[in-house]
Amino acid sequence: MGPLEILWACITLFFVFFALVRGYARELGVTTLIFVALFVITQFGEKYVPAILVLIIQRIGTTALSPRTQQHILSNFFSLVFILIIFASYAGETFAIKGRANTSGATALLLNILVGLLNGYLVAGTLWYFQDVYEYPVVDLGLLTLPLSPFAETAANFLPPYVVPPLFWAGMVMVLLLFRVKD
Amino acid sequence: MQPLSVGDPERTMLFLALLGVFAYQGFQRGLIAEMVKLGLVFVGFAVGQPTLLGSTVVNVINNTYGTVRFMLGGSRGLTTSDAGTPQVQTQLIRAQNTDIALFIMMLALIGIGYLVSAKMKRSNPIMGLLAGAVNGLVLTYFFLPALPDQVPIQPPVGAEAVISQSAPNMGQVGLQIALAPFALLYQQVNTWIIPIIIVAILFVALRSIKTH
Repeated sequence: MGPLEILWACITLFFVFFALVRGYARELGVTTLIFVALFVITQFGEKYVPAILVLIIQRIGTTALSPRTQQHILSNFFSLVFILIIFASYAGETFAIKGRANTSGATALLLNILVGLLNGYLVAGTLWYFQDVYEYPVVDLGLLTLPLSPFAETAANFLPPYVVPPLFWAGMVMVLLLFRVKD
Repeated sequence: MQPLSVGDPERTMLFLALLGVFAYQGFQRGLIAEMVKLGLVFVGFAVGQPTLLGSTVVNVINNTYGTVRFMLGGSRGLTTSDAGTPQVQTQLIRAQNTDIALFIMMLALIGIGYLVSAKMKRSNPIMGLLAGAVNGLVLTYFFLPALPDQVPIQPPVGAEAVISQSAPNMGQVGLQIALAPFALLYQQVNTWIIPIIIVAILFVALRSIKTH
């Protein structure tokens, strides 16, 4: 794997392409579910899942897991849950904002790009966060070499869960749901 | 990981209030008017800096003035020294007045930008809101370094400091100027810039969806 920020940029770019193809009204539905996922994971998941993991280990009766193994499990678990939610938001009957959106012209193009960048930042940034907060478990798998580049070190300070409090996600979900049911 | 921080709350509130005023004005006037205003603000700022366009503008004005005087009055339009050689008395803007003249020209250009934008037809108010906020950011960045120390906001790196750096080419200076307002925004609101951007994108996108 190359520099982490390149992978991050590629994922973001993919979401920009998705938004250009699908339109920002549909992408805002995906944004809503991303907000839900972020709120649930950062408000409750990170608090209770580690405790549940310890409880399960105790019930099974095996020897306690090493801190590094726990980091592997938690990082993979949260990443998997998050990816499943993103997948669900794109699959089948999608959750879209109702109404008539701009579909042509410079404004529509700009909005598609902006919403695509937002979704890309949220998805790629959150997956990066699950690595950063658990001290990069992928390094043990040989998929990444530390240290990060100076740019990546700086960028890691701006990952969504670091810079946005959990209640903000809940507030945004409320706003988007109110807009969806307005008519 | 950086903790959430907004720095001095009073400074941040004033800064955001200024942005809000400019954004509201942009909403009222529309995108095109704000873009015209922004262009003239940048031109005005470049004229106000001797290292950018200021010296060139002063030279052009002085040369034009000298030429006109010469054409109207012939050699009498030029004063001569005792030795009989023409002197540089044909300067409309003399060296000691250059700074104030450039400052007045800069204000005049920005004023023209405001007047022109006020006369323009309103179009695309949502994008105008964003452009207005950018205008506010640019103006705040350009003018606050020139104000006294007592003002609530003192950006650590001002426009003059950016210009005075040994920039090898105009492109680099231009890039620094273009990015500087966003650096200032980050200095003022710190990591809250991310939630602010998210809210701004959602606000603009949701407003553009017609529900009826």
